[in-house]
Amino acid sequence: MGSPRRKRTQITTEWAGGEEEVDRLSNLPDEIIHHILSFLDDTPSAVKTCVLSKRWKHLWTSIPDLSFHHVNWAFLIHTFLRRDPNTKLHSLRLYICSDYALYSGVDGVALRNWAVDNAVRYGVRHIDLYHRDYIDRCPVPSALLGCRTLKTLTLRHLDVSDLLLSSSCFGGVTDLCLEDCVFNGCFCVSGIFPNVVNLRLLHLEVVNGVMEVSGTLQLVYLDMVGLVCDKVKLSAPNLRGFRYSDNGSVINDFFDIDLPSLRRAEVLLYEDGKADRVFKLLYGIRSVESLAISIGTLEALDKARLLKHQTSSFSKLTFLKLLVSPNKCRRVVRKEIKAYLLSGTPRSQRVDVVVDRLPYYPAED
Amino acid sequence: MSITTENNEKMITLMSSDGEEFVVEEAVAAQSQTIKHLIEDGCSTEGSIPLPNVTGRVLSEVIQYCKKHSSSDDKEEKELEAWDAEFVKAADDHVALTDLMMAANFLDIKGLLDLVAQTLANMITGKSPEEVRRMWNIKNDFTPEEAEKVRKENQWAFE
Repeated sequence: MGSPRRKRTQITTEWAGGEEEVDRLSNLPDEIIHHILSFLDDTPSAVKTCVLSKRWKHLWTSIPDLSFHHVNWAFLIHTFLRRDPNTKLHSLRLYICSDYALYSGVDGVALRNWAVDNAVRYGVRHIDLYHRDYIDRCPVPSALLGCRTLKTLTLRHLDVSDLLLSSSCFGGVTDLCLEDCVFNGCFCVSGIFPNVVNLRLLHLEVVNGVMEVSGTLQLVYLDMVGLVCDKVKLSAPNLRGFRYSDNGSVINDFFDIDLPSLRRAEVLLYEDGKADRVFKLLYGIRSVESLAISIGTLEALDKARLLKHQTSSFSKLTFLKLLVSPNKCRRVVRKEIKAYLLSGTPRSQRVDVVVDRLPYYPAED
Repeated sequence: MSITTENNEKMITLMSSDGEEFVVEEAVAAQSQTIKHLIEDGCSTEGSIPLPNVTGRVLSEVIQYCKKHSSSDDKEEKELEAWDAEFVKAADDHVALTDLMMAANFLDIKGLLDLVAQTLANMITGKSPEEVRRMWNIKNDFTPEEAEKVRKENQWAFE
């Protein structure tokens, strides 16, 4: 078999009529170049390619992914105004700072709303919005509330109360990620999404309020980091993966944790915590087969003699990862901790146990 | 053509544009959504699956990637990342990367498509237009006046 590459080079040198090599990047189809451009840092970097050659002059006007990281507002407007009106928008990432906008004489909220309006008009499917405002958290852009094309939505540093009031929209959203957001009232996931049939992934980080995740049939992955909530109710019949980290969080109580299909869980407890809260959480995730857990809190419970004579509720474990503080040079886990976690598992069942360091520094320890 | 090995793994045969045949486990080949759909439609039962857009040289690299990623469910992510980095480094000549990109697109292997796109994007990042042109043999077909005009039209991006 001949080398296909050499063959092709021969053809192209003939065609180019000299030693000059062919321009393989420009020869790629538009959608592939767009895909490459979407991996550049941001949209300005993609637009800059317009000066390369005539082939590249208009390529950026149909890029499906837009990413603005505290950019010049004039550039943001330019990008939308010059956009090819016949194209669909795949994603918009917009990081905006009200105070910076104000400094340049622009109303940040108005600019943000204008950009989101445009994105929705172009049928955007993925939105990641971060709105920095030093005084207050701004409400969610109203255009989002009626957007029917959205699949994934990430909102950071916003007041998401309006999500709770809206009805019947968001039917198509499969992934919702809220970071550093506040809301008034009870954050009830099944309430926000009357047609929650599609929500598969929910990531909540530093969200304040009362939380209720229930009736979400398709939810398969739930991530909760640093929540400040009075009460958290979790009920998701099809949830397979769960990550919980209480770094900086205050959750006074868990109630009605019902996760019958849970297979994998990662539990990072950094506070010493109230014992009954910890036991409630562990009981709630009892159906896991694979568990990664930080052991600081368990050590504290052990010292307080609260683990003694207790049987854990994990009966299906096949993999157990014990996470120790990264400060400790030796990875030592007290045998009482291990014994407690494995106490509910039948002896005949093989469980692989590994010890690893916590992925990042806990707030205390 | 479907064969079954001792451990009951169904094998299928892929044929490259230049007639080279590759026998791989179905789970490996099914990393490609395109091939997966062909298998589901019953195209793998008679003879081999022809892939008219992919040469044997590129296909063998794609298969290497798929093998690694189909057996890596429980492997540490870091290890896989390191492997990916080595993989694109080994393919780090422009021809191979653009060919891999085309193949990943045709075969619909999202992980590989993103990996190569990221690699190519990294090669463009931080370079002046002239450096990018030289690297990729892009012919600047603008007259100086046109070039100035394009730059002016999009001045916001250059600030």
